[in-house]
Amino acid sequence: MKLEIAEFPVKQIRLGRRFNYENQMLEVDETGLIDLVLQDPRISDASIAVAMPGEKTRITGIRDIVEPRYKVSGSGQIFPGILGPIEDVGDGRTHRLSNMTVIAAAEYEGTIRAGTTVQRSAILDMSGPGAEISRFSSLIHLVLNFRIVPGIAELEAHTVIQLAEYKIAHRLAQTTAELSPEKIVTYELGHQNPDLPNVMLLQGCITDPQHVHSGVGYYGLSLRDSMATFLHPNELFDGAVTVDTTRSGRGYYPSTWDWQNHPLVLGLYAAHGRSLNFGGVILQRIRFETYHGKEVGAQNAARLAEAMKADGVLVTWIGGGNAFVDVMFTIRACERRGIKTTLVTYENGGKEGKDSPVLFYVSEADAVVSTGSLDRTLNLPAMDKVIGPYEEIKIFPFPGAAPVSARGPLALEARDVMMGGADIWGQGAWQCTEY
Amino acid sequence: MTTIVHVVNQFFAGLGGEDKAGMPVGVIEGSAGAARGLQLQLGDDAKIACTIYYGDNYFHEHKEDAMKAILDAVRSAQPQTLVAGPAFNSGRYGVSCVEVCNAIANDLGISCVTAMHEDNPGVGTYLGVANSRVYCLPTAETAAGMTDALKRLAKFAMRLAHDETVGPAQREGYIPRGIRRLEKADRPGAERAIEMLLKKIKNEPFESELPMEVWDEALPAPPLVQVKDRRIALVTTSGVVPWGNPDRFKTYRNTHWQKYNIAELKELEPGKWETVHGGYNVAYMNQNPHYGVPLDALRALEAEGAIGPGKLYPAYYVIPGNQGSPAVMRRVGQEIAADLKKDNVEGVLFVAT
Repeated sequence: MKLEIAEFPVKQIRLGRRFNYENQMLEVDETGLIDLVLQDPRISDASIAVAMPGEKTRITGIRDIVEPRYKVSGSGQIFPGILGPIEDVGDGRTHRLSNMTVIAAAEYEGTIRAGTTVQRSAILDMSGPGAEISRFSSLIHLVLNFRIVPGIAELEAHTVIQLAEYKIAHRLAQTTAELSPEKIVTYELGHQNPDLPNVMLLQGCITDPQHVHSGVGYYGLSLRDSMATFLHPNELFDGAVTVDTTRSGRGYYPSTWDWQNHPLVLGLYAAHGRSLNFGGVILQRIRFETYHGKEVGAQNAARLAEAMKADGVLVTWIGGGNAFVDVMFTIRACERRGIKTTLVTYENGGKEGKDSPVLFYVSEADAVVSTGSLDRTLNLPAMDKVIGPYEEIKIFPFPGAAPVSARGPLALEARDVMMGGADIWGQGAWQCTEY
Repeated sequence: MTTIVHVVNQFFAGLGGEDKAGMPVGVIEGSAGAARGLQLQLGDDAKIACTIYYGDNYFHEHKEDAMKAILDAVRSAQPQTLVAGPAFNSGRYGVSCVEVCNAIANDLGISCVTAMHEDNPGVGTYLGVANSRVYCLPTAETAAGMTDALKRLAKFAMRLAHDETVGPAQREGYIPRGIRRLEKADRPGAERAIEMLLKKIKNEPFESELPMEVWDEALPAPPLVQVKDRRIALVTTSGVVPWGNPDRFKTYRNTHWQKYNIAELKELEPGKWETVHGGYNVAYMNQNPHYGVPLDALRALEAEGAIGPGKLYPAYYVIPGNQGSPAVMRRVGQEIAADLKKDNVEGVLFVAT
């Protein structure tokens, strides 16, 4: 499997009357895009705005964020099982509009009041202290702002949001279909050097089996009680793994963009053939409900890594709370098989950083990289402009929480209200240091 | 000229051993005993204004008086920083050094430094107070390490006196206090992770960025005999609360608990209760709150006589457990236990989720 990613950097977006890419300027047919979204009768109105880095702009109601990509060769299309048939992806050539994203900002109230599956949305500041903590504030965003008609349940709302943003992103990237890229990067796992260690990425994923969307889509299918499975990293680049858009991007949930640009996958590819052989990705379902389940899941993932002849694994996760027990058990199971581990994790630790940084330990977890704490407070200044469906937002996701003005200054109790405010996979340089 | 105050016990002040451990707080102008060694290390850059001493036993037996005398002495000396110890492996001395530093830092806003062996019980106190103005340097086990300890204390004290920024524990050489600060590293986490893993695979030394913690174990109480004669209460982390969430629990990382009256209730009626919890799908619990607060089962046990008449505590205790911070949950557990104890509850049905 060999994937060429052809890069078309975007420095400017112009809302116009046609689709065109020239000199890093993307012109889009605004009415055409809105019409495309409004084909879905469950969307009551839609508009488009552009947010630039450095602007005093706050985006509200963010459900997901996606990088525009389009396959020009190889089987399948971006987001197999969602935008098109379930075909193999990860081979051929894929165009990407880099340095920009499509943000789905949608008004949706939801039918669930609390719990893991309650709908949630995030905000994004394009300047100030909020921008400093988010990996998304330095990118240019085409914000798709729309409302979902009332009375739609969570799973259907998710499909409405997802189809709208993916269709738009796909259409944008299609603009480059006949153009030659500025740069091509080739991703291929072949040529294993016997003198280098074999390293895999073990990606734990919290899933909610009771919910209609488990939180992790694999070729559009919700991952539920599955055992660990092998994934070629190129599949990620072509959108084989997706998210539940009614709760992605906030807290420890990755967005679609994060799966497309997984920093550990990109890091391992960069080291591939130089200091290690990248052996691919193990996708592991975590947060089994019982001790029994957690132990079986951990052993199973380690067994797969062993069968794949891994000398070491980078372990990372999506999740919080008791899902971390599954992660720690997995580390122990790997180490006992002689597979070396390094964990990449965010921490909690409370507002002052004096509380326990994580919720569970095993002694085998002796190599850990910290990606920073979710718990630290953050004061955001007022912004000149608000893009998105909400003029008032709820900072605390509990029943009865009072909404506050989205434009005004905000005192965040935790960083996870900011889209990308939690660096879950080590994309940025945030870390907690012991004093 | 920088002014420093040195705090030592009676032994290191050169005033006598265990037989003098009852000696009250005293102040010697300038440097005495171990403080002379410290002054030597400080050279001409700083002057030890006074040496404060106390007997190891006196300090712990008359803590309030001792602390007041020390605070008064430090206040009048107006130092830029305070040095306590080194205490090496002496437990009473080590604990007092940390407590003095903590009080001076809190009451006078002065950064302080002490030093002791890592197994000294004072290190436990140091971790407990986790005061960002108090530093503890590791030393040898015995006073054989005196010169080295004083050398490092002098250097560290000068930095504190000059209000220099003190970096992370590992780099600066003090014992980590369990205070984790959010910062930016020089490289992305992904890069650091790959480098750390490769070092580990090659059996090269590496430094984890997150030290493992050791947890205390809670031993379960022995089973109750004759349950029907015991007062039983219900405690739950399920997050079941009266509809409308009157006490504004959050769905995660709560810091307070509540108790809600169930004295007159036979059962929890769906629609009158709701679940505030971000860690599981609460739809089923909302349909049947008894999954979290099994009042129906307890009333049935009462009817059978397995729980004696009037023996079920008239309220249940609740805090949504999701992502509860261990320190907060320890406190919450202690508060609930104290409340139960006050009302003579002998057994608890604990419903977790």
